[in-house]
Amino acid sequence: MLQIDSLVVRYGGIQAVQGISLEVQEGELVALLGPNGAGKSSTLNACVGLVKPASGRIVFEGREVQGMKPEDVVRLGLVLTPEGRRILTGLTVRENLLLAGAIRKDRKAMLADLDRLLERFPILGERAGLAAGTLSGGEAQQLAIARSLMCAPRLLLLDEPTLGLAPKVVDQVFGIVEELRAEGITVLMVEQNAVRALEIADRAYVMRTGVIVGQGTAEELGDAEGLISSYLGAGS
Amino acid sequence: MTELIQQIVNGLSLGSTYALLALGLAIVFSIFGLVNFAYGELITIAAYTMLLTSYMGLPWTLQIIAGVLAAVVGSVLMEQIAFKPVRNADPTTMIITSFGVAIAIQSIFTMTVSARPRAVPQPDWTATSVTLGGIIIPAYQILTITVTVVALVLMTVMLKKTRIGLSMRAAAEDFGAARLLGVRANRVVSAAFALSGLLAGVAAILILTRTGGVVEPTMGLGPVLKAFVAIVIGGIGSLSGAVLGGFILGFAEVALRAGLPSSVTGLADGVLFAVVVIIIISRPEGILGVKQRLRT
Amino acid sequence: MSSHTGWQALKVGVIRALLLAIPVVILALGWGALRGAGGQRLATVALINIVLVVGIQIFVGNSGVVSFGHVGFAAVGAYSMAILTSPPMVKRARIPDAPFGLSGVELTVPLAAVVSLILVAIVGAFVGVVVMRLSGVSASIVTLAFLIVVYNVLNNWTALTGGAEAFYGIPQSKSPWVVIAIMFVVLIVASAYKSSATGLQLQASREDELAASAMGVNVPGLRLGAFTMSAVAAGAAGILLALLLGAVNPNDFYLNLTFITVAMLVLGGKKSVTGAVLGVLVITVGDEIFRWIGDGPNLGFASLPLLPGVNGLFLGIIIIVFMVWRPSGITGNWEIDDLFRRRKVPESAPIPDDRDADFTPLPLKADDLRKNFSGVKAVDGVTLTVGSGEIVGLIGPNGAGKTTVMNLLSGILPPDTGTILIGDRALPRQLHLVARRGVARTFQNIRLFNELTVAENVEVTAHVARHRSSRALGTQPPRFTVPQLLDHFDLLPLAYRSAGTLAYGEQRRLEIARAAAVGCNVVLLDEPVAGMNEVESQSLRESIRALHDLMGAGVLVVDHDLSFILGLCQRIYVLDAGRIIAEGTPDEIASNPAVIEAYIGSERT
Repeated sequence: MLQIDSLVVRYGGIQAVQGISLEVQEGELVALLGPNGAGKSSTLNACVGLVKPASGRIVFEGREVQGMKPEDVVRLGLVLTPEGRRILTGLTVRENLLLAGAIRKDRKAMLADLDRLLERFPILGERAGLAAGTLSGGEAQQLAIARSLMCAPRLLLLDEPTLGLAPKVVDQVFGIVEELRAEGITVLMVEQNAVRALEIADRAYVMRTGVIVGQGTAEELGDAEGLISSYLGAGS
Repeated sequence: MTELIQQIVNGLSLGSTYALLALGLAIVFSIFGLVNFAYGELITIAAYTMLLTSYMGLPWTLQIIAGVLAAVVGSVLMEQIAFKPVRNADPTTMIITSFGVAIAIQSIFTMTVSARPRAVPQPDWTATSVTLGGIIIPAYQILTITVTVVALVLMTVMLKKTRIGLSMRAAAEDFGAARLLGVRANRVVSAAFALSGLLAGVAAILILTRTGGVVEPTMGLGPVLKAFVAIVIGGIGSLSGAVLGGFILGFAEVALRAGLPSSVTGLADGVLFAVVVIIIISRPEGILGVKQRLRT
Repeated sequence: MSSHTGWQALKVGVIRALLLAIPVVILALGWGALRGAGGQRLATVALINIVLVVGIQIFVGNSGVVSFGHVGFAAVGAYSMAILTSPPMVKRARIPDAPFGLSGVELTVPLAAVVSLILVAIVGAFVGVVVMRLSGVSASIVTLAFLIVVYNVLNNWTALTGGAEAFYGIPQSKSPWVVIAIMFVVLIVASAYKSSATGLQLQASREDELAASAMGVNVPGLRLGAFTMSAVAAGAAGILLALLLGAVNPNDFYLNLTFITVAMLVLGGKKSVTGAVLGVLVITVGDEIFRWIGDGPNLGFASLPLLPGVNGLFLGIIIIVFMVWRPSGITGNWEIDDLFRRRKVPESAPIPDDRDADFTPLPLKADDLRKNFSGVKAVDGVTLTVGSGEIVGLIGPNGAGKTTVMNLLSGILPPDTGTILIGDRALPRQLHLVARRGVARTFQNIRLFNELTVAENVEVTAHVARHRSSRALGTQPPRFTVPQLLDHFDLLPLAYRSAGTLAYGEQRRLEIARAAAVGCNVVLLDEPVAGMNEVESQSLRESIRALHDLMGAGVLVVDHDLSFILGLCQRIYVLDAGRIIAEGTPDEIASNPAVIEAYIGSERT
């Protein structure tokens, strides 16, 4: 469904992503792991057009998407829930969702989806008319995910969905991701919490300093010991 | 008492025009990050279009429609030609570019019409007035206040209820996040410039009814400077702040004119700009405390 | 290598001023001789515009803050001149009720000029106090507001200025030589200032205001100085204009002149004195050509129609085209004397072995630091110490609060509660004083002064280090020349490259060298190996050792890369969710389960 081939992303003189290749099949939940600065977010951002790759190909359902505008990528069903959530705090919860749904042609189905999501995330239902800025961190993450779902994603890219959340809320977010996967939504998730991510993911890639240093299922990647060494490099 | 009410009406009327102007400036700033110095030239474009159509013998109603349309088209073209290439430049580059646009447009009117003022005939009723319990309200003031109220209500409805309005509010808050949700950047920017031109065009009609229809190439300068002041008062980037800033400015100006000794009433503008300086230093976010929102 | 001592800067200033003034004067006098009185007048106006635009360049070029208000200072100078020099007879008719008995005053031209310049300096300093704390568009709007206030006062304080109509009676002086002399002085001042250490520091703030402050540059103070100086130059231009015209008028000093000077500066290149001069010449010629076209000239075979204002269209289009196509103008940062300058890089500049070894770095102690951001506890009671000369690591996962701790320790953010001591004295509240106290830092996203050279980047902090009072430090740290510092960090061959053009690893190294030059007590390194591979981070480790070796300063390295920190530091703190969860030697930290958990996540709670 998604193939990334020899992707290179540069910021100024910094080569954040140094020619990585990876693949996500339909129906999979794939985790992209690695320490801060490994180039995980840059990879996702390149997929949705937030940054322009220096070279390489990104193919989504047979179409090359590298260099496309974000607003066009999302219409293909390749949807990013960005790091830091970036919910629109001045808009109400419902407006956040309506904005995301506006790209869909079938308005009736969109509104039906909206109602379903407000039921599925009861806290959003309760706060539908309030400014999104009044939500707590965990609630805002739910809104961010719900908002992405309103775009009718074929493939959902989740960037650090648990960052800065309390442990209980982290559980809740992982629960939601598991549900999505059960519903058949394909997910590529960037996550710091490698152990938890591996628990739910079908497969994972491990990135470090812009290259992929490991990949496979949780078993293949080995125990925590092995993971630590791919995280921390050969030095430890 | 009558005197006071009279002055309040004056302040409301003056403030209305400023509020419309400030809103037009703030819409573009909030979405595009541009302090558009050439905004005043949209007023000039509207006014000269009314002049042209009056020469062509069109009735006033058609003149004002043509004027507003010209301002809308002018605003959108301004963005396409001059501002799009500097979209990602720093704010200072953008403001200097808008300086260039302002000079160029002024010069075009000097070249094609004249540097000297001309007059657009205004309908007779705009020079009449209504007396209500001892208070004399000129018709142009009633028109100004009514039009402003209608325009502000329509703007609010547009921003709150329509899809493009929602997109604009989203883009003003976080352009990147809005694009991730499918908001089309070019369309929103064009819409912001079109709306900005619309407000400038409407303000131009009101300004002409007040001044008896005087048009000249530099006529946009005074209004754009006042709109600057209003958005600084209201907090740069905030739409409601801009409207409120416009009204505060209108009342302050009326109060200063009434309060200053007659020998120095001309200094009222100087005082207002000095106040702006004080606001910028002490509360860069504006006196309303609206947090400044900049593009990401 | 560095031309930043006072005498050298003055030498550069005189050479550049001569190289610019000689052709300009020949052009001006030649044009005047060819075209009679009209040509002479045009040439003199162009020379005055050079005074004005080069004067504006002193502030705008070095600080990067665009001013739309300098024509206001020209107006103050011109009107002050008019009021002081015109005969009392004229004034009694024109401004009989002038305040301070000014209608009876008549000064000689030189005395009036001095008084006017002092007045401009006072007004300039006053406006400068406002502008110095602002950046970008806010600063520009304030300068525009100043221009409007001046225009408004000139038009409406009729008792003093005579109002909107022209004010006659200024003793006229048509000789170009006074103008040439003043222009020469202004060219020297602008060129010398740009080459001076003071000017360089202000340019550093133009490139990156936050980094400059954190490196010890007093940004507001330097802005105020440059603004006042440049206001005085603009005032001088106003005085010269008043003397040339013999009369002044508020409209002479408003938006038309502002537009044309902005166009000149933008077209020539605002960072360059040469550019400012070039801009005046090109726009003057262009403006004349378009005025001639606008007047409907007879070409012999056909007469063109009248096109008044076509010169304004030319100005507007020039501004737009340059903003879009080349915002740094024709010259960019280039100066005319660069044609003749040969830059030699010394082979080496070793640090002598007998350097002062008496210096002992002061320790940094932070006690119970707390910082909330709108209710989120980013830092929640952090206590840590960097002992004298100790290399300490601070690690933690993404979002742990490392960057906030860094910003607190380097004085960029004030803590909500808690204390930070250097030795036994509190961290200064003003950011630029922190570096002067010997605490310097690098930044996660690399914040170099990109358009300055490698040598200049280091010169900025070396200058701060040379000029700080030893009282603030206790003992005097050893001093190094810029070549010595560059050599120590293997940057000597890159000395004249622009910092922004360096490779990533070189940029990191330069940032460490820049901090090392001033950070004699503690240097804080924020994620120095982020995005680096093994080879690169190995080389960076050597730079950190070089830093430690230079003056023996303590180092606090913040990073998420555990292996890097384990191999480098003597002692390590682990931060998670705003709190220190572990502290110890590398061995202790490597085997601490809480650390592993914080890093790669925990089992389901």
